[in-house]
Amino acid sequence: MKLSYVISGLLGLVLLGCSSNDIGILPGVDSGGVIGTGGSLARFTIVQNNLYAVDNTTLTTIDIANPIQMILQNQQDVGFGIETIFPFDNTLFIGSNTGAYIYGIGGEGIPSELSFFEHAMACDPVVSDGDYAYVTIRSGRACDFLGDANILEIYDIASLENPVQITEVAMNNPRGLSVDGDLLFVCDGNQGLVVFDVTDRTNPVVLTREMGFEANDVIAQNNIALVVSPDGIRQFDYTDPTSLTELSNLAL
Amino acid sequence: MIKCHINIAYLWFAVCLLGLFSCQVEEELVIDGWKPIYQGEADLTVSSLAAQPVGEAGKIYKYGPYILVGETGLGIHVFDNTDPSNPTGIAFINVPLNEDMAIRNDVMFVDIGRDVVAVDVSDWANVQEIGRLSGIYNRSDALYPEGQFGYFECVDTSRGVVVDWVSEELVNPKCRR
Repeated sequence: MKLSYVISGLLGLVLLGCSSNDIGILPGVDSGGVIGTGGSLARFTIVQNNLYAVDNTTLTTIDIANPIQMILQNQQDVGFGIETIFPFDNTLFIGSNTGAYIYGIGGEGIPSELSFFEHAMACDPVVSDGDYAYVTIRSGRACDFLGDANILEIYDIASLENPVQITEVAMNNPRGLSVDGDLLFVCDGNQGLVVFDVTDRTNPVVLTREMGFEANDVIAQNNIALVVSPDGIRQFDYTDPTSLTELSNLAL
Repeated sequence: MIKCHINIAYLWFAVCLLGLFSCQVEEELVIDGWKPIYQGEADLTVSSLAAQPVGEAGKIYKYGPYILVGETGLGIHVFDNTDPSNPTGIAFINVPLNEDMAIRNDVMFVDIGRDVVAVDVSDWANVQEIGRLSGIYNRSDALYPEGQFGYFECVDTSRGVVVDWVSEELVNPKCRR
């Protein structure tokens, strides 16, 4: 099992090596596209001219350069219990019930597996800022039969082929998360939204915790954190990350 | 994970036959369970409706001044967030069997059951389907109601692909999980 990861990692390295001359820009790509931002629990994401979709087991690549004539480019098995996909540049981070996968997007936009970091059976979205990958692992849901962990993990991904775990933080019941510079926002179930200062990635420091709602997912962008919970859609200004200001709450 | 269930009535029947040949067969089993909806039986078109209250919030998405809130299985609520202290509902996009969305250059890509559909959203009040890839999105609930346990009507693949499950009273269901 491990050997196959090493082999696929090496293959990925070779593929990445081939495309690295392009300075990250794929041939024939219109880089001026306006693309939205999904939460960490998304199963769809767009990178340049391709839509990447994950279902329970499969990663699908669809060429959307011409949305009137979408082209099914590629479908590949990833593993079991695939839950989320998150893009950074030409890298895709895929969260599953058993761990997180890193895929590099090669020429023609086709992804190939670079690495996989395994952990206890649980639910886990993964996000990244390019230098680090952030994973939450939680137990207590239908997809979790074995795990009994509720933690935040940070991996150094300077080598995409060999992520190294550098941090583990105990959480209550963590779910979606979002990173903006040195700030990390983690939804912690009925313990609300936690803001960490991750200037030192090996030692995240809690700056504040917004309580009183069950936080499921968050998008932190331009000093506004959009948080979804079963009872509302809230927006917080985090210009002062030690004390968030609630801008609005769409009660459900 | 899936097992076809031998109905209790038949078991009783068998037991009776082995025994005194004198029992009566029990009544039919009528129980709440899950019934598959096959592709072709479901309406899989996208349309703009007036803004409506969010029932259950699913996926979130930001695009320019807009916030999108998915309501799994039903569609997508669109809010104008030009003023983040006062996001205003401007439309509900009816997207049957939908779970996810992503937008590029005013084209929103959504899953509708097993299809991936491209939707022109330059006017939220009047969105238009402009492209579709049919039957490519694999969903694990094509063979059983994912996330649901109990009785369900066994999938008859000769009727096509299952795109949804509805809760219904079933008579003598043969499958359960």
